[in-house]
Amino acid sequence: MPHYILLSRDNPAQFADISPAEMEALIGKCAAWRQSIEDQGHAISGEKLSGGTGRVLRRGLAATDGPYTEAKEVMGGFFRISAASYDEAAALAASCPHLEFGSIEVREIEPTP
Amino acid sequence: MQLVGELYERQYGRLVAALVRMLGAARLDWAEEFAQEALLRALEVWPFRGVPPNQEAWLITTAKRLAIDRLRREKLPVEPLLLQEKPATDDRLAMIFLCCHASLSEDLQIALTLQAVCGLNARQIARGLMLPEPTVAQRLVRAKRRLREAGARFDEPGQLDSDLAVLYLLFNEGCAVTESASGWFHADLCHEAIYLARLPAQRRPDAQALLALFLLQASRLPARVNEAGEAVPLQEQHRARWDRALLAEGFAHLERSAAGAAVTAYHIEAEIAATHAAAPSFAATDWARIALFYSQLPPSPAVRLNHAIAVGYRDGAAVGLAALNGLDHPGHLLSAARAEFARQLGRIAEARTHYTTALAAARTDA
Repeated sequence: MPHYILLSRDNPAQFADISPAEMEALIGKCAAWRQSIEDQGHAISGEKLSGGTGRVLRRGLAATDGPYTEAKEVMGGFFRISAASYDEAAALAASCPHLEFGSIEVREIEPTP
Repeated sequence: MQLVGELYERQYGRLVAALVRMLGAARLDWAEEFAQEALLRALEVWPFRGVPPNQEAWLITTAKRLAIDRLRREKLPVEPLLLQEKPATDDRLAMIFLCCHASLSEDLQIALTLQAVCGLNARQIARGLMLPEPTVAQRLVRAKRRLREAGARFDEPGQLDSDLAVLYLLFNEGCAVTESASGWFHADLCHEAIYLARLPAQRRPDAQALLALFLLQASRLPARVNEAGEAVPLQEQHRARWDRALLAEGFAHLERSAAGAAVTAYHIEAEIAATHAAAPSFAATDWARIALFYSQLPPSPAVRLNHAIAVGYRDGAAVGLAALNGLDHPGHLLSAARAEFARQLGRIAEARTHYTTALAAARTDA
């Protein structure tokens, strides 16, 4: 089955004043989402990227802040999931609780020949 | 994986307490900052990586790492943080001791306990105590400054009396707020007080009596508000809605609290709550017993008022009204009691006057 990467961008400032109860609810929701992906027979793993912003390196240019800073959205982390097709991966991403806080980019990982 | 909501809500207080143990009471500010930060990291990381099997350990490790980073940056020794952690429950109890330090007035004690032990922010505390937010923020700052100035230490022994008193206040705040609009707050506070009272209750009969009192009172919370969110007086409560599990536990603790030699006010108040709890209906309440218990409590305006009301239900409204005469009680409850007894006697005009006074006073109370 092909694998897809879900790149999550959101605005971390939204979490600055969250109550423990809200936090609990949110983490619970995310845990439930992960579980539902697994229950549907898809592999899922994920990582949080540290720090708010990254840098873009281009030959001949100085390193600049990541491309997302103007939008106040940063790449928070990513998931790797297996799905039968791009559409199925997109459908799975559409139920991701992270969408409440920003956007998710869905990309297929080029299958190993 | 399901997270246990209650557990998570308590993590903040545990983290702060554990960090204060390591960093010292003078760094309560830092402890709060790192606890907050660790919870925030959890919020950022767990959604991607999944929830770790031992959340508490993950949080404490993260908070500790933050603290070590800060100490290194400030060129301070990091050894205290490398020490073995004590069980978190003890830390939380010691944390209440610290928040109830003798250098702090009651107002400051409550605000600080709500923040450092219960994890509420200034806005939530302000909402719960019905105070302006800047007032609460000032109290929190003042409380921490006083602790530093007084050289307060984590784990100072011999403060259990004020410790119990603050739990009592915490619980009362929770109950009082039940009748206001912010219903979300009340049960939290009451259950927080119950949770915290369990710790000293294992060691002291008076704390056990206090726990019994909390449990018996809290059992009525579900019946105290109707579907429309209005307060329901005891007379009209559906007793079937009382929480049977809390009641049973309350009675059990009350029985065990009799082990000590001393009868404290908490014992007597718990007996009063138990008498109400044991009554099959309002009419069948043993008012003689309740009046007797009130007469054994150290007299205060509230105790005198409640005693007079119990006497009124025991001996009739006319006696009750006479007993209320000469009482002085701030707020609306005295007028409300007079109005109720006058109404029972059919003295409608008099009842109306008292109800009007009570209503006016209730508005200023709020």
